[in-house]
Amino acid sequence: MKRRKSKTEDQQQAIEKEVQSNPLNFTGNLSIDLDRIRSEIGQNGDVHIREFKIGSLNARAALIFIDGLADTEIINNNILRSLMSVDDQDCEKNRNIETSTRERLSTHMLLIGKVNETSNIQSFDTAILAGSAGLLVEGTAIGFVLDVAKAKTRNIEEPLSESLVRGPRVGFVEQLSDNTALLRNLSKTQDLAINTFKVGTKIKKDLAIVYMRDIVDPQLLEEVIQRIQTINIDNLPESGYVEQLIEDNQFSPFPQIQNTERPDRVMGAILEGRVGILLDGTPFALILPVTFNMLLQSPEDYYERWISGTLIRMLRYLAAFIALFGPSLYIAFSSFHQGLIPTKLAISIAASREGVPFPPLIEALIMEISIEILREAGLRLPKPVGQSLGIVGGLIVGEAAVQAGIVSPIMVIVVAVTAISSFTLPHYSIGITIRFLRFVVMLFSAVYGLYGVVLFVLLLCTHLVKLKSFNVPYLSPAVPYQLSDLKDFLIRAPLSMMKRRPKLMHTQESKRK
Amino acid sequence: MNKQRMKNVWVGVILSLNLILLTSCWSYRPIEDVNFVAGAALDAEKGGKISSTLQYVVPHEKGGGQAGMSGHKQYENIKEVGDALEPIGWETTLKKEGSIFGAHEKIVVIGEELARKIDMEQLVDLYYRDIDIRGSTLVFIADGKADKTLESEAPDIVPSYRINEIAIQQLSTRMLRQTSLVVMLSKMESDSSFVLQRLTTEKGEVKFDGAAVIKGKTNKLIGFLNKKEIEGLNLITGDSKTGSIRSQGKKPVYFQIQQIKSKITPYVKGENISFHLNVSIDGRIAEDWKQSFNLFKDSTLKQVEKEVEKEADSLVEHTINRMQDDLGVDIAGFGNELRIHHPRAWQRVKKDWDERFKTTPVTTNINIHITDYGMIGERNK
Repeated sequence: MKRRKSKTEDQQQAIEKEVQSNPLNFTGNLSIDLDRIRSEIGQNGDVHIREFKIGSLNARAALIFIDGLADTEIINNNILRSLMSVDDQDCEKNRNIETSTRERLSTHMLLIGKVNETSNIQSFDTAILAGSAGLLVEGTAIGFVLDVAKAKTRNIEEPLSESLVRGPRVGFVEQLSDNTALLRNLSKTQDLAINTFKVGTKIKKDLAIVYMRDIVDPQLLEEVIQRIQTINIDNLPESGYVEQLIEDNQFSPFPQIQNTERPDRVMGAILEGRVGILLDGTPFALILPVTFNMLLQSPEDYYERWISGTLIRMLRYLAAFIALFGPSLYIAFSSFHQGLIPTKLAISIAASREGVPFPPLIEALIMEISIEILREAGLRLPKPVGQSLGIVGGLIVGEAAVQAGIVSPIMVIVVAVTAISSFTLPHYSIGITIRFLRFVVMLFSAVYGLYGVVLFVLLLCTHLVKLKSFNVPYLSPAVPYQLSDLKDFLIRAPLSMMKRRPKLMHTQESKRK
Repeated sequence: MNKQRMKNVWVGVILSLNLILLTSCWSYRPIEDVNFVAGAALDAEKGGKISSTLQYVVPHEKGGGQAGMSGHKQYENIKEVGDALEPIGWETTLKKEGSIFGAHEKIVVIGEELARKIDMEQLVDLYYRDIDIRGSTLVFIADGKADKTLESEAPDIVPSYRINEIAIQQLSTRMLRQTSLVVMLSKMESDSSFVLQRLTTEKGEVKFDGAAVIKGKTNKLIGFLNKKEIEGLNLITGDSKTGSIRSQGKKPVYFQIQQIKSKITPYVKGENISFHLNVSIDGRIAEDWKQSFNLFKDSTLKQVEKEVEKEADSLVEHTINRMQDDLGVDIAGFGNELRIHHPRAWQRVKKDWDERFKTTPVTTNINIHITDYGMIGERNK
């Protein structure tokens, strides 16, 4: 008894010393440690601290967990039940030695898969806040982190933003582990590398980089990791934050990183030597580097046979052109270059514009802005309401505007065709870019006519040629010209012809086996 | 470094803004404010003056569901008199709002009197200088007053466009190939004679009737060809798509032309120039008024071919005679063939080619080939 007492005193002194020297570590004294935890997170209503005695060790212990995040069933059945049951034989055997306490706990008593140990209070707290249960035992200067987090996940569903007619009906979910599992599921190869990082200064989030170890260009990988490490922001609620913080040119209207909800798309990209980024808490994965033509491609181009894939892809390029230049060409032709319109069409345009009080630019702006408002309104409303809004807005307002003579019927056609064309773009973000640029080119054409449109195209080209995404030129393989990569540019060559990975990615392994 | 760069950016922004703000919709001209000129008619007036009639399209919105018929008059003719086309143009702007816009002008009709009096090149000078007016605008000569041809009683019709469409179709050998401003310029510049389509008005409606012959030396109208002569001319030039030839004889057989191949071969021997014209025509029997006729027999076919050949030959002969003896001009492109095949000889004669052509011998050989005679070969009485 005496010996023990003196030991306790020694311990007491040692603990005080340690608290002073290293305030972040556990002391081993349960009440002191608990007090500190209470003062840090315990004041929150959802933090539960359960004090009890470990039956076989006869030691006081406390279990800290968060209501709702931790699975109480596991806590009750796999932790508390085994810890609190009394077994006298064991009791005597391992009473005094600290190491054996740890060992016994993890080898005999904690009936769960993942047990981590930490001596740092801070990391102990964050683990608890992430859903784990924390276990402190009297006399042990170590906190056990028991992974009992309840998976807060939803079912895997077809992605809303990129639906396909043909292709896997699988989309990413919010849980990072589910997403990485989806990717693992798609490629059961050891070459698929998933590196996780912690990002965010205040709220730490898991971020995973996925790539093919034997394909990816090491320089690219290095660049990506370096840029991710420079992220310095308190919170990353969505992968859009990551995108904006690591992209090359934040003043460009063009997205330089692709986002997708489709695992097959990520898989396809990383097999081309690209890098995927997954962030916990969002179903949107990022793909980089990205080139302009990728944004007009859809996985269906590859799933369908190459002839139809090529045709649909060309159709999409055409649609992008119409979506960008439709109203501006109308403005240019109808108010500057009437001589370029076929005679009969010119006369019928003139007839339809008879009595319209606005110049073509204002007319186009009225229609374009109202259709953008309609689109935005339809987006925010619940689905059934959104549809009827489309009918009311598109049909009734359009028809009424023509009847009232505010806009000409031809303008309605132009705007409608433009809007429909912009819906064919397979990526929401490039769609927004083109919608924005459409207004810019409308102003250009209203000032200069076709000459202005040409000026705009020149400006656009100079910008695009300069733009790079992670050191890959944005317009490649068109500029700089790479003949072999053109097989997957405007056309989609038969699969048997596309035996090599894109040269612009500088992959380690150029042949697709 | 960075400061300098920012400065450069600002300079760039200000310059670009100037570019937009200072020009501010330069040459902006909304489509409803311009007057589309569909066609023009030029006539001679008293005192050596010229009158120009501009036909403006008046766009009306088509009534929905009524097959595009609105019942409105689709055009408006504005006539002004002056001593040149330019002041006349300005004069018309005093009468009608909006600027004159010539890019959709399709035809120019020149009155007979004016064409006889004034050098054609001088007359249409403005049309070549105006950047809006296209070189593809067609030129016609009107029988009598030109401004009559630009009128029509029918609703929903722009007369200029109707004339243009008929001219372009050129369905029959009885109609001349259309001549555009550019083609006319090349003829006038090379001093070669040429023909223009001739328009007449009958009961207020316009009709294509024959051709007007313009002499290359003077660029003035010297005479007309009738439809029959045009048939001959079309066979010489091979310029026609379809048409029919009547076989000689009391009761006719009509031969429908499907393809004409004509070749003019010039021969030069010293100072002597002669031409050989070879025309081969493929076609079918279109109508048969001879009762006892067995086309299953090769000999009958040959006989019909002969008869058609004779008629074609006389057509061609007549036209050549008309050109050489009567009008004294080469309008079928004999001179052009000479220029291509014997440039040196051409250099010698090009100065007064029309005079020279009068006495140049032309031999002809016409080949008719019947490819098809329909579903009836032989007809029982």
